[in-house]
Amino acid sequence: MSLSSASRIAQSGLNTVTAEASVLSRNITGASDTTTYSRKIANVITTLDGSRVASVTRASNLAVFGNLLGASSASAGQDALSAGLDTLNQTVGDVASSSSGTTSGASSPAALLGNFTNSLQSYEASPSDSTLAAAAVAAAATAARGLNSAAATVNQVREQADSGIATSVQTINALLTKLQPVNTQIINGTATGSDVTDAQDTRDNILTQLAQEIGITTTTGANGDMSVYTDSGVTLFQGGAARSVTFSATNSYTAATAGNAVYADGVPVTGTSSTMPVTSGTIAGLATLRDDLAVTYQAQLDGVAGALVTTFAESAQTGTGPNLPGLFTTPGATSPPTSTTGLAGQISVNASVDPTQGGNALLLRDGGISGNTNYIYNTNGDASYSTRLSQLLANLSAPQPFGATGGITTNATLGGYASASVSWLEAERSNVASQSTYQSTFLNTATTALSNATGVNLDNEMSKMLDLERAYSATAKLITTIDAMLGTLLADYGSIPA
Amino acid sequence: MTSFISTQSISSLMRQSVLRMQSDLAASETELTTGNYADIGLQLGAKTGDTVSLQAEASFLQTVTDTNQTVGTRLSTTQANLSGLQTAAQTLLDSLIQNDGSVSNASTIQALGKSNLEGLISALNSTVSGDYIFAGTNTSKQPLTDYYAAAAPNKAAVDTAFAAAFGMPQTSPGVSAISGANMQSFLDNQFASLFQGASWAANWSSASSQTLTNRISGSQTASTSVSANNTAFQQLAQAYSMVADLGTQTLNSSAYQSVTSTARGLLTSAISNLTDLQASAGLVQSDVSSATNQMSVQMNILSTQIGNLESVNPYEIATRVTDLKTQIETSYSLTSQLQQLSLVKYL
Repeated sequence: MSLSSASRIAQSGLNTVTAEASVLSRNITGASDTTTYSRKIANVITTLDGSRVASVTRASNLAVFGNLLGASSASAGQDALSAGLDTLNQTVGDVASSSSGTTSGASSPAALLGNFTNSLQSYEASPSDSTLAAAAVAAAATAARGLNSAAATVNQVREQADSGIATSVQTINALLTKLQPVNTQIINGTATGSDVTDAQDTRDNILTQLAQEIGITTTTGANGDMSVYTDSGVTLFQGGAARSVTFSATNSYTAATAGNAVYADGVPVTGTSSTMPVTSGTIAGLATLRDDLAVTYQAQLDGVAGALVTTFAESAQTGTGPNLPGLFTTPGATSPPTSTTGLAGQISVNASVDPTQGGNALLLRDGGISGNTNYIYNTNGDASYSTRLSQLLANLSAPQPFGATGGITTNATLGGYASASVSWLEAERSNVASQSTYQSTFLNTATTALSNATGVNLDNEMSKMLDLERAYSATAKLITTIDAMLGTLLADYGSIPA
Repeated sequence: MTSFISTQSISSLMRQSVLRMQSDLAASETELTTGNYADIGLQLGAKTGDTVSLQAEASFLQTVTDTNQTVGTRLSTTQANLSGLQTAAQTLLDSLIQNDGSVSNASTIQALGKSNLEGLISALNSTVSGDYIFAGTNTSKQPLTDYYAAAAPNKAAVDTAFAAAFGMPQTSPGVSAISGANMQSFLDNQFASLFQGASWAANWSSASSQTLTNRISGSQTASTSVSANNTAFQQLAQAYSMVADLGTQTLNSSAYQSVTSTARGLLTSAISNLTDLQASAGLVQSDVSSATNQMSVQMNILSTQIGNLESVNPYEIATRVTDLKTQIETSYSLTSQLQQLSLVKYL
């Protein structure tokens, strides 16, 4: 052992302390980083020549990180659904009863139908009153416009979901492309033993963003190579190569439009044709909204519209003939519709009975709205003929069949069906909202857990800094002492007798 | 086990809970102001349709209650007219009975008959808000033709029938030669047929025999008008025009006797028919008013049910608002105290 070796050891001590201080300052900077900064740890080893920082690793907890990814996906999916259902809820409007017990403030098809029924009832009591006739036709027109705008809202929701999916697919591809160099850096760094912790943080950050768009699972090889799969098992990233996710957007939706599926690595991951559908993430939420919920709601609106056309259709009073559309019709229709698809968007009040379009509202009482004189009910032209109106009111309150695609009752009165549709929508909304709250709470918990497992505590770092400061002073003192000893040695060397 | 908490999670926990409490507070304040849930659809879920249909039902009942007012007005007017007609008929009948076929008061009786005929026509042509209430469903047309108008078809038909039977108009002095038997035969056959079937429809009435039907409650419909084509009115018209326009002042005693006794018979039967009409209109009136009362009770029940579904308990909400305020204030003070707790301050 010599003084020079003691000096070398003291020097290595200084190097180690500065290296540790540098890691510490990285941690302090990263403390407020809300993304995925993880606590860096300088691993110090002792050698014959003193000590050195052998490697820098980071605090990590794979299980907690996995939870966070799952929670991000689930929460993003529910949020997408919830936002879409809130938009659909605009079609229901305010369901609160006003002080007078009427539903005048509400805009749901159910409420508009109720208003129309009331107008018809008022008119039935005074069939000679053309003002009441015009009021009834106006209420019918409002109900038809209500259905039109509800159908437009549904299409709008589907269009937005479609463009949301397109944006999401772009984001996924961009993230997968970003993942590639980072992954390579980690593999190389792991092989050469250099500090890859920042690259690992970046990779975690990319994965967190990816998980919001699409549910994922990951596996990591011994060399640090990561593979990413969708939660349904389709490969997104493997062997250092990103697979492409493709989607062809549809710009405009009608009731009959079916949206395209999202393909990952050539395999459909959304839609009914998919054998491996993704179950979480924004894409899954938007796809459910676009292909399932909105379509079902559309079918319910169409069912209401179809039932309105059928209920108000006129039958031949003289001779025989098919039923013809009456008060409610679709543009250019010459017979009742055979399919209800898209009716809600097209239904309108027949121009011949609508005073605002130059028609005669009294035809509501008399019949013959289609223009065919064989379909006139009030053959004597009596001013207070109420038979047809009573018949219409009775038809409105009679149960009738509805298509099964609406997913609710298939036999109900028109008003009952419209109410059931409101119930269905609010039940979905309520369910999704509570799921969404649950998932976001779960996400918060997972974020907190991950932050606690891998985050930085400033006080902890500060006290470590005090330790390092102390170690640095001690080492410096050691070097001064060795220097003094060497000085003593050199100064006294000549005076020592040979 | 060592406990470790990151600086990040200390502050974010506080932030998140304050955010959640603030949005709860906003919702509670809405609920306090409106008295209803902040988001009824979200709160009720699958039950939202119930409140929508309850509201629709309540507003339909309100509409029927309103239309019952219209029906009620029509029925009271009908009742008033029927009772006026009955009084007039009774007055004529009383006079006829008092005079017992004596020709001495024939002019008075004739004048009374004429004024009763005018009264009948006017009563049956009465309107409620522009609708002729005795016109059946044909409410836009005045049901009875005015007998005393120029070229009135009903007057012309009587004149023609009289001339055909006796070869002279009613005003001719020769009518005093008509025998009682001939007059009776004319009254029973040619004259009577003028007030029935096709002749009645052609010359007297344009009313529809189909009466108005209205829904008077959620499930009940009722016939709510009386048609001018009712037998009671035909009999009245027949009796009045017989007394008023068959030259009764100049008839001989035997022919006059035939006229008055036929008129008496017709009036007796008409009064009894009028009473029946009044009774059935009264029944409908009482149906309407009990249906209206019934619906008012139903609407109360419905509005209670709607309230049960939609309303919040204001005391509960007020308490919740106070709790939330306290919690938020605590969070604020905790946040500021935690900010002070840092090792950096002591270095």
